[in-house]
Amino acid sequence: MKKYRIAEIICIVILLVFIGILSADETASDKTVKEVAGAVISDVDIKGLSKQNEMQIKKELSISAKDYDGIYFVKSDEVMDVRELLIIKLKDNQSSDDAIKKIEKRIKDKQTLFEGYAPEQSAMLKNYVLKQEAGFIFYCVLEENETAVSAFNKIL
Amino acid sequence: MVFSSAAFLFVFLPIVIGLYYLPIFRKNDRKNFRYKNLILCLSSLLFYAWGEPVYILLMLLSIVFNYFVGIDIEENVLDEKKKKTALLLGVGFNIFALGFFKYSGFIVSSFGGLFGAELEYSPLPLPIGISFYTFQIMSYIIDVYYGTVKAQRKLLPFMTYISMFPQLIAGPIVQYSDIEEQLQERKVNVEKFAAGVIFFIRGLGKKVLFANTIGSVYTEITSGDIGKASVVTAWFGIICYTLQIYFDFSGYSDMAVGLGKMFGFNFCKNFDLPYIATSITDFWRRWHISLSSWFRDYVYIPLGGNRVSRGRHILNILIVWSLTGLWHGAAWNFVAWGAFYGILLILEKYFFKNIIEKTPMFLRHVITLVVVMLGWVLFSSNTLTDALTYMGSMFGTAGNVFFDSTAKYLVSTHIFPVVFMSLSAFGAFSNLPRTKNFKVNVIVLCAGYIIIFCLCVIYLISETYNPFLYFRF
Repeated sequence: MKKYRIAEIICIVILLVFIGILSADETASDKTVKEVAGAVISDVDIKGLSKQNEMQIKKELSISAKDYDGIYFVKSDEVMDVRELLIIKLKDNQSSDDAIKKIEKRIKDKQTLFEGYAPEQSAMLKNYVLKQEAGFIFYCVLEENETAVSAFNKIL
Repeated sequence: MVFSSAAFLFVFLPIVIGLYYLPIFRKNDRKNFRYKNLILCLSSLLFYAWGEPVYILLMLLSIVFNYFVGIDIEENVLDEKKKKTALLLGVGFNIFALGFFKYSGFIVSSFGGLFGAELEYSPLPLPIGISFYTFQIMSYIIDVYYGTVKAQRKLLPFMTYISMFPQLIAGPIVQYSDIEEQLQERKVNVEKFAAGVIFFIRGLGKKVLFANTIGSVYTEITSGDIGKASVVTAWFGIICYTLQIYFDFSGYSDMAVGLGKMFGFNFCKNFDLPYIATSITDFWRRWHISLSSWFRDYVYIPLGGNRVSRGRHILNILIVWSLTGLWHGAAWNFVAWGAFYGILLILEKYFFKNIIEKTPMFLRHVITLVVVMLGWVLFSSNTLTDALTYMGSMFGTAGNVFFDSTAKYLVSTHIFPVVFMSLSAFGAFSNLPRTKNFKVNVIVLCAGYIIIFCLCVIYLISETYNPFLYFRF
């Protein structure tokens, strides 16, 4: 019947438009984690933070570095220093859900830990930034969150 | 949202069950099932939108399109040309959508690699469950084309079939013909609901207590330099992964079957103790049964199956298994994994049949398990190179030591869970002894499942490691 064929063709057109909009909206950056991290840390002060290796990343975040295109993670070794910066590059077609859930869990755990007795750290943790852009996940708890975010956006 | 999450267990599921069983209509009234389908459909859309707010549009579009295609095919039942055009349009749409979202990056990079060029292309994220729901939809339109099932004229039951949250994101792949009648009317009673709860808790236990516990071992081993791992470490790692993937996926399938029963549906069995298989053919009769059945019904048989010449049959097997591999992921290691099984099945059927039949059963079992484990190395690695490096460590080809302190630590800390899980995977606990007293049996069973559920909740609250391996497909 003709009316069904028309409905099918309308659906095909909608699919193509949908794909077009998504593709235009979510073009992943071709930058590497190293390049993005380099741009961010050149603008913010990360003195006292040390770079974490694959095992430490697994221990701290329950994230396996081999599951992603690249991970950059710096944190302080001091118990009372809550500053940290994490940049993850997703692989092609990869969902960010798992990593974001783990980061959110980490934030929540840290907030619970410091809440009530360390107001300065609590305030910093409340101001955390977690965002996803162009195939990257960006998370930071820094004194200069805004500068870090703007450097991140700029390099992408 | 995953089944093994507090949000699902304590908020989403109780609300949906509550609404589903609200006594608004009489039990056997057709309106009752319409209402139930509506609740199931809306809750499934919410479930999907929870993790994929944008891609829900893609799924809805796919549902509406294929709904029209089904009717279009049936309306043109006497006009073969128009009927075929509608089918081709439907299959083309589904393959294009799946191909674009799942395989475009792989195709572009492979094409670039072929000509030594690095093409700049960033594919979109993969919509969750697209491989599963696309295959379900295709089974429907192909069945309508062959007249096996009638086209569904009502959008709500069709939408319920595709979007049903119990099996939406990781299967089992339910063929329309299997639940066509259940979509209109199904048996809903306390016994079935209770059986569903038992299935669900069993699956939850497999996932949370077994798969999550053992899964960290393989992740830990592969996050280091696997090329330098000792032989025992490499073997122990892949044994753990073998257990993890089984309990992870069969646990999810049990949960899906259980949820289906809780809503009155009967889904097909997806696993049947695959690790007790005594040949590769036997293994694939027991592993991911719904996928094997799909490829058998919609690819293998239309290609001619085994009623063709030997050469053509071998080609058919290779095509089906390469596609099976590719279905699991857009990467060459998955194609290699599929082809690996294709070749093994050909060898079993045409070359080693007599030898296999004469081999003692225990040895056949061991050989099958080792081959399956080698397959999992291909499957779990990110690239073919990684897989070969891992296999190299398993056989010590790079001068790997046989046993080291890492192996000692891993084996000593995980040997008991590995033995217990292995026995469970071999079905050692399938027929536990029962008393003659029915009431005692019921009390013991209920107590057992309540304990398993409580343990799962404790684990879920305290643990962060909770991935589902089959979500990425």
